[in-house]
Amino acid sequence: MQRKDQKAHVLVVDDDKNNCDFFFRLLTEQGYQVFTTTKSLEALAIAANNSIDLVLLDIKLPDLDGIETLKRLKKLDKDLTVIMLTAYGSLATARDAMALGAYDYITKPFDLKFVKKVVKNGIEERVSWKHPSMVEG
Amino acid sequence: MEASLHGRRLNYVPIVHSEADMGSLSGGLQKAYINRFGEKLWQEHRQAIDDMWEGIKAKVNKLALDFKKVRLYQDGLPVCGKEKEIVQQVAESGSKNHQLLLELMSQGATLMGTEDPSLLIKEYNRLRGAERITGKAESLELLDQRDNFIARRITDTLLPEETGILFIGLMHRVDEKLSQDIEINYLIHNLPFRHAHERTGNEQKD
Repeated sequence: MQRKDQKAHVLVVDDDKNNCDFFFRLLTEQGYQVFTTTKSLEALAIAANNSIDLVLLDIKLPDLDGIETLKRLKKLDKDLTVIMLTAYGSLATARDAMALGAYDYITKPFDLKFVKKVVKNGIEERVSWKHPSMVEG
Repeated sequence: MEASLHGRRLNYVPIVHSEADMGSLSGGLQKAYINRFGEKLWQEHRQAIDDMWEGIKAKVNKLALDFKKVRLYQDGLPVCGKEKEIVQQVAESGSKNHQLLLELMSQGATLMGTEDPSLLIKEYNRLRGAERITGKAESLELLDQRDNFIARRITDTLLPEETGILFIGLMHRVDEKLSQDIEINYLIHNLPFRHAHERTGNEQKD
């Protein structure tokens, strides 16, 4: 789903650059404008300076962990849609993610079709709420 | 992933409940959700829960268990002698959780009543607003009592060389109360929180 004259903005935050590059290609093909970074602090700067609609956020990051990053992203924009991605799914991080308002919590290895679907739904929900007059169709 | 020799293993599956899982409360919960978030988001929420269950089913199948040595434990299922009837009824109302239980039972798994009926009645009344349990501390106390019972139930009924599968709401802490000899494997595909943290004023129902 796209805004009129403007693409939905997705930020990918993963400590593995290969994953960032992969999601960049995948999500660009889906019609989104994609930002990527391997660092939490850079992610926060990107989110602060761009109108981000959805974040794909790895739990394990080199500077701030994913949960702390989620907390700070939500402080910037409480309605930001954030999807947690983790190879180390745990009850503790799942509970923290839910309490902080994450949209979904997905464990790796994941099905790409499934991730694309969750991203699409997350974007649609966010864009239709935030820019109802700008949504096509 | 079978239990080690003489050991016991539990596959712990944290879940997000659908309204269909909630039996007689489901109609009211659906209405409340739609009132708050609209019909479109209700449909997407339902689909998200269904997708979660498809993912869980795939992960359970990948475990390649001998289901004749598997016991199934289920959040909200009382120890009462009518466990199978309850599961069938809730499955027929659309619960993917309970449909999966029936599927695993058809492959030989044993269904186990899991919860103390008196505590479930308290929880049911709390959700209906009929009980005087309105504070967060009291809700957590009830959750803790339920978890103590569930943990004892699993500890007492899961036999050596058997594997259990527990489907349980995310806010439960049964894993912290189990016997030390039970090896726990956490099985998470995804958890579609969506508006879970908003639904009951930041208190996830469980």
